[in-house]
Amino acid sequence: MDHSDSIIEKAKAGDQRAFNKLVGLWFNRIYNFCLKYFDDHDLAMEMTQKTFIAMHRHLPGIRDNDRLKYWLYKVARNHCYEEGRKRSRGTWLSLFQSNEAHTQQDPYFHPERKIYSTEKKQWVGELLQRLPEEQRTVVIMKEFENMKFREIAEVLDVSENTVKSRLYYGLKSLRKQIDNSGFNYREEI
Amino acid sequence: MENSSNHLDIINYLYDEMDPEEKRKFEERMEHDSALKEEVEAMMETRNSLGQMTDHDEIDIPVKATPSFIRQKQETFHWIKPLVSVAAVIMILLVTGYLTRFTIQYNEKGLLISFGETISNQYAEKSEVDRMIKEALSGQQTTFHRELTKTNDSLKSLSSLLTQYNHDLNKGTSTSRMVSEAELNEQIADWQKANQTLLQNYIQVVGKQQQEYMQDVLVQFSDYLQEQREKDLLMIRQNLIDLKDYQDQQKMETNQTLASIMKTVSQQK
Repeated sequence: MDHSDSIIEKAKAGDQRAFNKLVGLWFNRIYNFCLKYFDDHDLAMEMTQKTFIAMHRHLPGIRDNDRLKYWLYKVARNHCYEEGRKRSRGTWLSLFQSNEAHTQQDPYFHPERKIYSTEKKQWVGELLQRLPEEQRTVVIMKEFENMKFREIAEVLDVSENTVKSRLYYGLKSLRKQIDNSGFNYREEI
Repeated sequence: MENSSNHLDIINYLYDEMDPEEKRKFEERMEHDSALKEEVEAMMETRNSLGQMTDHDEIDIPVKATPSFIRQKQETFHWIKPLVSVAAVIMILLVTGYLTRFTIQYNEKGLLISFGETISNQYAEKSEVDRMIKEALSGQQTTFHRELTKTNDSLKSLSSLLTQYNHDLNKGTSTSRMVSEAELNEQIADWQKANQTLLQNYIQVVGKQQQEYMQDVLVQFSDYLQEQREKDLLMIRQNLIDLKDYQDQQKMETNQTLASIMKTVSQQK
């Protein structure tokens, strides 16, 4: 996905159509990043909207147009991180939430019990949610956003080797979870 | 397989970040190191499983993310919101007033506020009030006399029944004296014996049932404790493994940071 400098410059100058175009270019990417982060459509929508509202406010202050991509991912990740922290402070049980949500938080919960009744990608999404935040972010950026190690390092403000080690441990942890679930995805997926 | 160099090599190999020479050497290493090969294959399979999670289809951009909405929110909404709130409050008050038939009247006697029927302002005359009191008293007296007569009748019938009962009782006592005392004692002894046997049987049966029930409960409780213990141990084991992984990762990151600092310092020298 690429965008020309002129669109950004026009958007910076207050051109609504140019801004709309920029949103159109990046909305799906940022939404999919947030969706993988939370595995929840409503939350992903909320975080994506926050990201673009922040872009509208801060766009004129972004000097280097080439860094817009990193800036967007950084803002989206920060919003997701803050929201995740808020949610981890206390367990909020919605009156309208089904029991399914509770079983997912249960340490003895095994995906194998429900794997055959839900979509496989949903199962993978659930496994992703159990990774520590920093590993999850790197796995999503590398595996789903196809970002380069250099780009991820820039967004997260860490070294490339740190990104690689987080990715290694993230994949290893996922592997462990798949094995523990007892689900043979080689046959089933 | 727990050193940082191997981790980086595996990631570089998986994501095609090696030059051809490095790749060839790494593949050679894998040929001789089955554990390394196994780990790389496991990582590949994990990546494949992640590939099942595709992107969401194109979604409609909601109005909230468009600049017109943002501007509208910033410029217009700050005075619309209180206005709508005030209008809503007035509307609620009006509807509530209508439904409860709320009325306010003001006349020479003062302010009258009421819900439902309007309060009548007419006062009754003294003679009217006296008449109403007399009527109520006479009605009460009539009712009292009627109830008194009824109670007297009931007492009379009860008294006659009591006299009849006393007569019957005297008759029965004189008949029972005819049965010999020895026969009576024998009968009582039989009853006592039968009762004792019945009680013993009952205690035995209940005791047995209680014992069986307690045994069952203890077995179930023991099974439950064992199951919980196994689950707890499993969870603790998993958490310890995760903690170790996390520590390894932190250690590696610290080493990398130190190496980078040392490199920077040596370059500055």
